[in-house]
Amino acid sequence: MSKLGHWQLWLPWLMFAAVMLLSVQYVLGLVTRSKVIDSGAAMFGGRVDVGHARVSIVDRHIALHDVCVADPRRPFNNLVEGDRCEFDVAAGPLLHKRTVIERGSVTGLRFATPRDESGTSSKSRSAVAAPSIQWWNDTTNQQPTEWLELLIRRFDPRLVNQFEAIKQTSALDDRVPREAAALDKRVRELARRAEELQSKVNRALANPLRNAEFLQAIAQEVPALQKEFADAAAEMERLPDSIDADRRAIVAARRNDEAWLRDQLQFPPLEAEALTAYLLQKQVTAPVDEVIDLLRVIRQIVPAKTAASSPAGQRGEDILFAGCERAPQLLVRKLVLAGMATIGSRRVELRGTLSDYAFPPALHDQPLRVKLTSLGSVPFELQATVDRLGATAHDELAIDCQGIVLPRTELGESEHLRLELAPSSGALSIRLKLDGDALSGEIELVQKQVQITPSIGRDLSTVPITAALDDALGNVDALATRITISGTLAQPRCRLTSDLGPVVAEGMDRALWRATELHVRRMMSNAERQVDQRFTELERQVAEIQAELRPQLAQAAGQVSDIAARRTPPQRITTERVGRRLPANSLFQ
Amino acid sequence: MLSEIVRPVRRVLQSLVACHTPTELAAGFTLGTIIGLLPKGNLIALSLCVLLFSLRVNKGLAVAAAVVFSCLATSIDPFVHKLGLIVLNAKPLQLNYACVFNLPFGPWLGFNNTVTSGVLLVGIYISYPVYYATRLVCEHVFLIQDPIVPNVGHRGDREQDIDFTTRTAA
Repeated sequence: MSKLGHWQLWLPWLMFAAVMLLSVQYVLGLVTRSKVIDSGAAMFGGRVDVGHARVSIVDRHIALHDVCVADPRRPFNNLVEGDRCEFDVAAGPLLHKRTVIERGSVTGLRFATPRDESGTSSKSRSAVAAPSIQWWNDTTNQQPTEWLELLIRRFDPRLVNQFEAIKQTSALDDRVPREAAALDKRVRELARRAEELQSKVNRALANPLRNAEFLQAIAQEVPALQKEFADAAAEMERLPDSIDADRRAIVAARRNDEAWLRDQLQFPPLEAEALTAYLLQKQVTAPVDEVIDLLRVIRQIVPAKTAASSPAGQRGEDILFAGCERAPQLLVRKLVLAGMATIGSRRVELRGTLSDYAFPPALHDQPLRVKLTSLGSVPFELQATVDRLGATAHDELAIDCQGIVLPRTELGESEHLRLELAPSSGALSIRLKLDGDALSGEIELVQKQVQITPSIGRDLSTVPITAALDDALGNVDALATRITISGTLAQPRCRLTSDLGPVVAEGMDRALWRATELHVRRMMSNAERQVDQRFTELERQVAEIQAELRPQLAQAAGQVSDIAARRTPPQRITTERVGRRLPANSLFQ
Repeated sequence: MLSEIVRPVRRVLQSLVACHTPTELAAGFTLGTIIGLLPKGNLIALSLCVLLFSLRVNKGLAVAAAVVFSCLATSIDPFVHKLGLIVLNAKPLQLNYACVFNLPFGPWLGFNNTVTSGVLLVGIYISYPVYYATRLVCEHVFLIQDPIVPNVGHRGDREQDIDFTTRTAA
């Protein structure tokens, strides 16, 4: 009974203690959640959401659920998201106002997930807009465009109008009808004159004595007219000969035209580096920016220089006494990471560790290391080292990804020339270093089983290079692209080299050689056909003119000859002539 | 029913206005002044708060003083920072400081902060003058309000006097 009474005495106290413990635990959970949200926003620069937090005093265990860290650069995206974060906190350091997480785990990690609410908050740091990378020889990107535009201009079929043969034919085309018209006019004028003369002569011959003087004058005019007729006839007969002479001159000009056209189709060599930049620069800028952004995020989370030891709003200054050592306020010895990521349009399961995260980082003797590897068909490995031990901040990022599946890609900036890369597999290797502000490193992508299909824009449709280019690129099986990065984190500079540029340049050279031969043949035959057509037409016109004028000329000439034949010089009436005309038996003969 | 509901409020108010002799008022004001001047978020400030609510001092005046002096505290920060800096940088005391600092809960005390140490020293230095002056003021106020009570506040325990009278009468 005394035991029962004793039990009744301590049980309420025990229950009270339990309730107090649970209350403390609950309050600690709220405080921890608030602290994580505040310090997370300060660390990442974006809003941090925590679903709920649970603190176990007995186990020294903290569990956070549904943690989302907003991306400060993209407010409606999460930088990282985790389903469950568990931390085992060491008790001893807490007595010395330090938080040491001996081990922990973050499961259900996801990256770059969308979020419903904006991730900016009043406590967030303003995210610095990431400047785009600068490329070495940025202007070379324009060179292939200009080169292709030159190609369009030089392969223009209208260039045939600049052929000397065509010009001469056009001149002949203008001249011959003009000459024919002049000849026609001249013949008509001569015919009119002959007709007029004929009528005058006829009238004069009706009374020759009265028109004796006129008939005398006719005697001089008729030979001149006959000469004019002869000249006109000769000129008419000379027309075909003139055309023949022009034809010979045009044949000679045609040879010059071919030489001129071949000269026009001599192009400056297309630089492989410029072609690489033209084809790939735009496509790789965004991924390279993303990789460099990753370093910026690392620098944002672990700044190169820790801000003043006194937190904002603290009054006074904390003194470190002689004999005391500075220690990080927060130390995470090891975190096991597990989650999913999208690599090359494939969902990949990731496992990894984060070790030795400290704040301030310089107060811990080990650099922060992150290692992530994939499970499954796509081998992926990421290693990041963030070292703040020395005077200069040193960051390293290494990513290796084998068997990455690259989607169908279109290369090329303008509508002139585009290359379509069919889906292929590749190996991606990224090595980046950041010493202080100096950025260096390489990104290498090797693509295998590549299928490249060139497509030519409408402007270049007159240039027959597609088939030849297709043949040249059909032999390409693998491509290697390398981006060398230098400069600073604020102004990164990149140099792009790839097999693609030289391959396409070589293919383009061959295609262009074939296209030039084909184009020259086509243009020359086109010019020849045009010249022949015009000559045929001219000859037909000349023949028609001759057929038309020749009878007119002959008729008029006949009239003149007739005039010349009928013309009798008027004789003076003498007694002798009169007597001879008298009958023989005339008394006066 | 209503009285049951307002009982906690009444008790809080009673605890705030209780202990209203000039001595208790002065002691509460002095403690409140020191608490108000101290930076919060360390064990020293927390201990003083616990002390305040444990002692028989006027809590209402203490809280009011703490609020008022919290607002004025930053104005004396440059001075107390310099004072704390001098004291904490005293070389002969470094080992002692380090020993205390390295004890469990040592960093939670916050005494390594220049302003905390400076305010604590200033608080200790001004505590008696503040206490004495406040008590004089309180006695003067009580004399004006209730001139019949003889020698009130001489011992500074008006409540005890009344209780004594009551008990004697009983």
